[in-house]
Amino acid sequence: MEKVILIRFSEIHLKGKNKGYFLKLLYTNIKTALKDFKKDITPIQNRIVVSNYILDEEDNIINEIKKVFGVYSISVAQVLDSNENAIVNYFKTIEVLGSFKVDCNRADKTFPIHSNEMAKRLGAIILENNKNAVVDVHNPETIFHVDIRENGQTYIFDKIIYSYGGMPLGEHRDGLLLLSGGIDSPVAGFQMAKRGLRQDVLHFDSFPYTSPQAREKVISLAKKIKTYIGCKYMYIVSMSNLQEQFHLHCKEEYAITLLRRAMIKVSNILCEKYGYKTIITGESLGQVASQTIESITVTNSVAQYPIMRPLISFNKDEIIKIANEIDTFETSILPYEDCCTVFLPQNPVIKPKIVIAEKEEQRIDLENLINIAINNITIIEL
Amino acid sequence: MNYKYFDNAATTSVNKEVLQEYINANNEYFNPSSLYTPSLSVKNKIEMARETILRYLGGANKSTFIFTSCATESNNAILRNCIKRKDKKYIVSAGEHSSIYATAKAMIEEGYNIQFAPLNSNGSVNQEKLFEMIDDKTAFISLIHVSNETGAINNIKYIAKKCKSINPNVLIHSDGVQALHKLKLNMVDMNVDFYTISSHKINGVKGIAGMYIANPNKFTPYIYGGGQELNLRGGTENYPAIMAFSKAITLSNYDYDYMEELKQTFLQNISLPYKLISLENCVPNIISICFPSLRGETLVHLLEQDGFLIGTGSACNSKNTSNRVLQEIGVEQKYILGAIRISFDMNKTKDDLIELANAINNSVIMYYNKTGYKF
Repeated sequence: MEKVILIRFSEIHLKGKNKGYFLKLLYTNIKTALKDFKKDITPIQNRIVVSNYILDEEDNIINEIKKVFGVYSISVAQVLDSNENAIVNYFKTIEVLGSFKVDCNRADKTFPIHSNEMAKRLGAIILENNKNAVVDVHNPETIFHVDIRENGQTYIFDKIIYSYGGMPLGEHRDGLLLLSGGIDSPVAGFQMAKRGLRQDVLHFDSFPYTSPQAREKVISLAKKIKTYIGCKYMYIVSMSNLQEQFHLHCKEEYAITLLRRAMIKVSNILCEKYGYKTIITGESLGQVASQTIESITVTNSVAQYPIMRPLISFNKDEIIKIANEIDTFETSILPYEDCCTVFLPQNPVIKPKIVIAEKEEQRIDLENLINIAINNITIIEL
Repeated sequence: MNYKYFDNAATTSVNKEVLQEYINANNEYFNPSSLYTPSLSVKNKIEMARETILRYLGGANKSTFIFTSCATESNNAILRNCIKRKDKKYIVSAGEHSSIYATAKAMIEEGYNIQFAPLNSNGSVNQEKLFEMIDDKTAFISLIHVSNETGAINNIKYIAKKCKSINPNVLIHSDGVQALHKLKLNMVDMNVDFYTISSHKINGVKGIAGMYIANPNKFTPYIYGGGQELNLRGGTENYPAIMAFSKAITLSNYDYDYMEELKQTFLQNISLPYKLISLENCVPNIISICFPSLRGETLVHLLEQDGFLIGTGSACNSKNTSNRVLQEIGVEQKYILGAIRISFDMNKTKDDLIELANAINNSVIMYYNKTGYKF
């Protein structure tokens, strides 16, 4: 009798002809996540089984599997050959206190006993051997799952650990995540990764108006979310010259609107150059002046690639909850200035207009300044 | 890049003789608590180092000097030792170093009655208000000797005498980290019960500091272990650092008048409007100066690009836009954000200070031009 980790996946089974592609992706991602552990990973029908691992590492292995998108749930199971005697003998050894139920899933239709019948038989064995055990099919304290699979093996477990679900992270880094150093953007990257979007990150800084510590903070955030979003490169583009020029020559209340449009323009260029297909931001509707529907409209109007805003409907507390879960919150709240707060206008415009933004941009040599910023890009391999 | 260093209040370079002492002492790697002769020799040398430091500090009879890992440890240990009763009153100045201030704040949370004495405009404690705060319940007062933010000097001798005349039972601690080598120190004369100093602020190595304790019998051990440091602080002694510390303490070359000259040279060469926090009654080697509508942190980075390293006490950031000490003094917010701290040692010349002043002028003008500030 052997202990294994049984992995179930979420929506991949709905994928029809592409199912094989996604399964392979998931298998590869799990393999990558567990590369530091001794183990065997075997795909079986509708499950992936991790076996031959070191028992002391079980919790760590489960933690790593939990971070792989596309995994729906995980169980530590006892594996037996699918024959009635073996299963019955195992159930004779189980000790139960309190209420329980047996839940049988007969995926292997060649197994001679039907699910309900099997569950009843096994339940009776538990009752015979445990004086204090009672059956409760509605609200049991323990559920014994008997998963009879097509490979001739039966997996028995009583705990299900739920994971993030979603889709396995793609092979290609298709997304460019704008990572600010705040609480929201790492969470935005996480949310998109949950839908299978592998991303690299772009950070805008404003040295010398911001400190090298602020930059280090964002690098450490990028490293923290690397496990989830699969990023390889971090681009750092300095916006100091642009901010100075906006500040000197353009309407003060438009400073942030213009800066954000410039950021999207920089992102467009990087998408084109490096083949990203979408831009991801941590915007949440109405959170600040630059995130009103009008502000988003004015920023969005310069985008040449779709902008994904996964947090658009999230409340701050919902975002913080996820930030805590993915361990980015404590880093995000480190008190270093980020690029947006340096030339912060007293009263930023809440309902900017595209025509005014375009007119303000004509007051400076925007294209040239953006090119200079791009030419001075720093690229870090994470 | 070869930087010109003007942040001596943060830390100092290690003196070559001190470093040599440190390296040599590392050859005697024996644990001072072991029983063989080489260990005994190390132990004796530690005691001689302790004597050297005590003598330099002018310690009282039966007083001692306990080696610690840093001034923060000393300050924490002293506060924790002296603040023990919830029915007593304790006072620390609002201008204390964070190692005192944060400990006091934490102990207030724990339910101790600790009050903060207000400051004068240069960052020294307001003596009148301090004396008014003392009553027969006051058990302990902690005052920084020289402010790490502004260089302001608290006249500890006068203050301690006056405090003890109001309440003879009050214990006085002074954090002398920035005073060591800058002011003449005599513990008996100053009538303090505890005094903190640190090696790395006087061209010594890091990792070693200590506390003067006038009456060690009344001090409770705070790190239990092998009975080192008079049984008050367990742990194998950092022998090389101790030897380096006792060397560094004897190598003072501080010339107050020369440093004052350097300070005045610097100020005379600043050609822009500024607000000087380090006014009268400050050690001349620390200059706290503010430029309006500017960010001290940005100025630090601009100067770094020109090869000058300066400090900013100001933790200016989006969440905490203030410098605690400057705020306590009552400096306006527009100046607090633009605060920088220049600190230097005897190795600097007038030309160095002129060069720094010019670099600051240029950087500040550049900042004002780029941000459109009109003055």
